Amino acid sequence: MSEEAVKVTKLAKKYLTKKRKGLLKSEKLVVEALRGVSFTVNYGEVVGLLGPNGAGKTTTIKILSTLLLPDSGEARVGGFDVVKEASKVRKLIGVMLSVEKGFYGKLTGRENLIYFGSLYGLSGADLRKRVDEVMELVGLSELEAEDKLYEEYSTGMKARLSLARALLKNPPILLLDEPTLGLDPMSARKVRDLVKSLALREGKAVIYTTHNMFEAELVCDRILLIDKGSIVASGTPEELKNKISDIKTVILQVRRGSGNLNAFLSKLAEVAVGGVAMEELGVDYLEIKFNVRSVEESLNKVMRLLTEGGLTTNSFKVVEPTLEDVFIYFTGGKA
Amino acid sequence: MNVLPLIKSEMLLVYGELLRRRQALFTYVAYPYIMTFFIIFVGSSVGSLENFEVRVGVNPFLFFIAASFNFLAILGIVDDVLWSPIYDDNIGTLPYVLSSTTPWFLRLLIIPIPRLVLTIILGFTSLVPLFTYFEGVEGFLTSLLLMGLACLAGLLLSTFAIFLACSVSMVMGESWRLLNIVRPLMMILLGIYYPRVLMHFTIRVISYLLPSSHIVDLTLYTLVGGGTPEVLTVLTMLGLGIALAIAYGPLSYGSTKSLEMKKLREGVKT
Repeated sequence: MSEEAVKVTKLAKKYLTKKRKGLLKSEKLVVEALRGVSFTVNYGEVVGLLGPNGAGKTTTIKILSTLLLPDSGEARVGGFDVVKEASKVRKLIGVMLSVEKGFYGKLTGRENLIYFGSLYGLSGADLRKRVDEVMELVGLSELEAEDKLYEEYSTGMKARLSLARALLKNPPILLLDEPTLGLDPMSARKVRDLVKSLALREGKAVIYTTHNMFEAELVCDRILLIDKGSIVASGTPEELKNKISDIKTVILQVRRGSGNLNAFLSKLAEVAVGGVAMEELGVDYLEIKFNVRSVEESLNKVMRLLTEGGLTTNSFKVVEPTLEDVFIYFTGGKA
Repeated sequence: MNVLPLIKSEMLLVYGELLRRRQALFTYVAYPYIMTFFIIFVGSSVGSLENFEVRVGVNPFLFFIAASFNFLAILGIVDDVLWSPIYDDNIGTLPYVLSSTTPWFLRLLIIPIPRLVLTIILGFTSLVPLFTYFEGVEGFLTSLLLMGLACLAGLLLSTFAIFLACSVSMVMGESWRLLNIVRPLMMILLGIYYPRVLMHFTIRVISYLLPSSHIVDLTLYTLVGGGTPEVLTVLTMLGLGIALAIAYGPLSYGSTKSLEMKKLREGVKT
């Protein structure tokens, strides 16, 4: 087995999609999902692929899972080429691609795992023992959900079962695509803790995609920020924050309808470094978040813009950048 | 690779799906009777049962229960093969099937095996009671023979079904609508309700290319022939059926591989 669990070199993939134009006509579009992505993942490490929707996270996971052929570049998993040695790669990986789907509704959780376990080459008492182990590990035994039909599972249970399947053959490499999507806080925490401990205690290499900054910071040893098919920044969460250490984050709460918000935002874009993120705060307020470089000068400009726009502010804070700010800085504020 | 655990887990899936859907199970068991009574009801309104028995040489109840059983047995065995690529794609299990260490083709080949047990169950709820009632011990033995032939017919159709399912998915995408047309058409071409000898020449040629049509023909010989068919006829039909099923093997393997490659190029839906 090679030292590097995953090695990706200049990986590229284009998709052909159709843009509908009326009922009968359509136009072919080429979408560049990956544009020469390169990275490595070592054993015992959780690497997060962090990026907005459509950034190329799932495409990367699919290629590494041998479920999609790249157009160019190379991806090696456990030292094996994902295209030429797909069957060897499949023995080394545990894959979790969707939280909500991928099981047979009329089978219980246990029966589903037995079914997939046999597809993975496990059998007999070993398989049954392993099924019990993984169900215990992901907390399904605790919920007494082993013998419930899958169609009766909650989203949290489905996610845990999906993770249990990924762990079934005790693979050294785990590829997890948004494993906590739609989960309640308790289930999400359970999944995160488990992933972290699998890397730490069992030396598994984990690739973990998410667009949840908080989660990425908690789980990942290293983060690859991916946007429009390219890695725009990488490093540990601290390293990423240090990359914008000269930058401060400004958080404004603006009263809705109190002035010309659009004019303010368009002028603010000239002051802000990277994008501007906006979030609704109840019915009355909007939270506007952006990064600035030279604080004093920028803040004077922002204050002037607020006055010019006639906007009423409820609060005005300047804070140290978080991982989310790093994300906004590099991806231009896309969610 | 040990296929026994795969067969066992496929059994788990089939029985789980069927036994936990009571209505589906009831429909499955009732179907040969419903079909038989429907045909006899329509037939007796335009003709007479006695006339049928005189002209065809067999009790109409026995003929149509055997035909309906044959229809459902073959369909039951191959239907999941035909639907498998679409079904797995829709419920999101396909990525896990394809990224498993079991080749997709092998899994498709195994799918019909658990359905054989269902065919036997169906035989004991439809063929055996009616044949035993009408013809006693001889009828009982005939029903067992017909069950065996139905199982064989279903199994022999598997490779063709894989070839058809994967080719249709390759060319037309995951079109269940198309399969809804292909499926009954295939049943007609097998000659279950409409004997092959009465078919138009072109259709008959197509029918000859279906491995199970020869076994269905053998079933009709057994039913209508009024006795045991000649050994040479039996061997010829069995030989043709088995040879065609084997011949479709490489084609079905090739079409599975091609479909897999197509999915890998486009990206397996998750």
